[in-house]
Amino acid sequence: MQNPSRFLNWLQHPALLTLICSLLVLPGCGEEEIDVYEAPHAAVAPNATAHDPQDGQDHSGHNHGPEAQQATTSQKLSFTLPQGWQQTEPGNMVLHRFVTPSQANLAITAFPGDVGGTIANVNRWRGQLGLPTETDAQVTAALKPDKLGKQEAHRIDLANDSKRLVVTFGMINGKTWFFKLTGTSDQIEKALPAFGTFLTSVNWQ
Amino acid sequence: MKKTLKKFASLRITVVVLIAGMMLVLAGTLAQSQMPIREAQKIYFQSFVVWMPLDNGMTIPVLLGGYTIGLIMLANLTCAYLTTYKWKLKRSGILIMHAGIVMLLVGQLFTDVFSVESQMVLNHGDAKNYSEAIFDFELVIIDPSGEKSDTVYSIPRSKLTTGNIIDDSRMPVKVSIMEFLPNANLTMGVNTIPTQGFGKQVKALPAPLVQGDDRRNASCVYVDLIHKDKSLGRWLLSTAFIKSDTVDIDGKTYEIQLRHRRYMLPMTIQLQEFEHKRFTGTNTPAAFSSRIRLIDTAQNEDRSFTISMNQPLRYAGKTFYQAGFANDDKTTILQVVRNPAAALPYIACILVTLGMGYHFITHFIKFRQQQTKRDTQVQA
Repeated sequence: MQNPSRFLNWLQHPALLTLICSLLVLPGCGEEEIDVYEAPHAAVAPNATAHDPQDGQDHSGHNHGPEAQQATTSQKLSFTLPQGWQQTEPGNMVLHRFVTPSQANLAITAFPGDVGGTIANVNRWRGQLGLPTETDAQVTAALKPDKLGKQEAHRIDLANDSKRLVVTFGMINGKTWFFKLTGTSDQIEKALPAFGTFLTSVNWQ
Repeated sequence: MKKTLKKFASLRITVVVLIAGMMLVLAGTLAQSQMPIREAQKIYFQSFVVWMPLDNGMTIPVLLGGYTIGLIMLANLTCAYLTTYKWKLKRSGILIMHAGIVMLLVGQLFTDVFSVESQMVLNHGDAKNYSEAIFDFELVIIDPSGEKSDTVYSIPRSKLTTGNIIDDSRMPVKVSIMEFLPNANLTMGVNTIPTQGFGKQVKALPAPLVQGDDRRNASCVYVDLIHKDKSLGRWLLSTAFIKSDTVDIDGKTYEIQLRHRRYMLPMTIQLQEFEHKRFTGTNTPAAFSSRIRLIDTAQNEDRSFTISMNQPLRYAGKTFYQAGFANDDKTTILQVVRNPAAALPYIACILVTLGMGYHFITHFIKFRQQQTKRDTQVQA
């Protein structure tokens, strides 16, 4: 490399151009297209045994029991149903629907995110009962702390004429879960003790 | 041309860009306390200019973004080599060091463009053979008739724009995007736009986008499915819907759904156990780890691994990190990263170290030789 400037004379223009062009083209590399693929079902052999090479132990006799035998879906909700409550057909957005002995209805739904925020949701429920919307401060003051199993949640209790609505809701695993009890004031009043017990029993496995 | 290149090779530019880089890192780091990390990264580091919104609705440029700084650094260094660098063996340490720095810059750009991050949320006992994008989603038409697998026709988010007609010969139907709502408030009620599916019972009111690592938008799309130039009906689909809808095409039932984008894995991963250790007497996490079972029938693999905070699992070109947990310690969240440029920063650091080492040693030897010569002269 005795005379570098002569060697580089021919290199400098194309090299710079190539570098600049490659960098400009790069952002376009992520163009997405329609994809068609085969998606095999998740495979878990029922009683097969697996061992951890990192733990230094022999797991050849390790039986993982029933939990290893089934593939379950995320955010499986478990609960203890109070006496006399009947489960009815839920629907697409409603995960579970129940009718209490007093004929109040309980619908359990879950949506990603905060679904527009607490204030907007409470005012939407107020609208459903024919009540006027309230300010942020009024809504916040009306909220009471509650629990969904061990998870922190809020409860709102709204009534207009004979209609009443009690919703306990909270953010769990990135989703807002709503436990909405609707009916007449009398139906709700009778269902509330069992509703409280029901909420303490819920659990996300 | 050479004059222009020399101007670009100026050391002043290097100093200014380095200062701009330091200011950007400081501003970007401070911004992460005010906004989600992802947003801060996008605004400060994955941009050409950092814009600041004003109260009157206007935005003004305040800093050079990460891409601009990286490009100027690259151009500055390249110009310096093309115009002023003396190509000698004793200076090759600097050359190697700079090659490492260039590799670091280019590697970061490759990572931004080509790396894919997704998550795997597994409850105790769950088994999955896919990971899901956190923010990206897809419209899928699924043919579930296969014995061992489903045929999935996946339309990416970028194609879901209002008015777009998706016509692909591989798909069983044409999909006309009537309207796309990036976020919507969903309420139960009669919706007259869809003629098919669950969406007939749901009202979707457009809502502003929400941002944040733990907040999700309920995206919705109205679609018209067209087969043999005839409309099969209109559907409202949403990422908030739990179940998929169905559509009959030529006597065959397909599923249709708007869902978080899935990345299929060549293996199945099952959560066997999640362990969350806390410091004694407190709720402060000390460590958490997931014991998972990996089944890859093609490779004849069936064994368990423990993924913990600093011990990711690397398999099939992907890295599985322990990212979080939820649901009273019954759910684990694994971050799945596919980064083809993952090795570049390591190689770059090795090159910089070698270059610095070589440069230091050659200078040290030269210094010692001069010192010995001087001492000899003094003694003489």
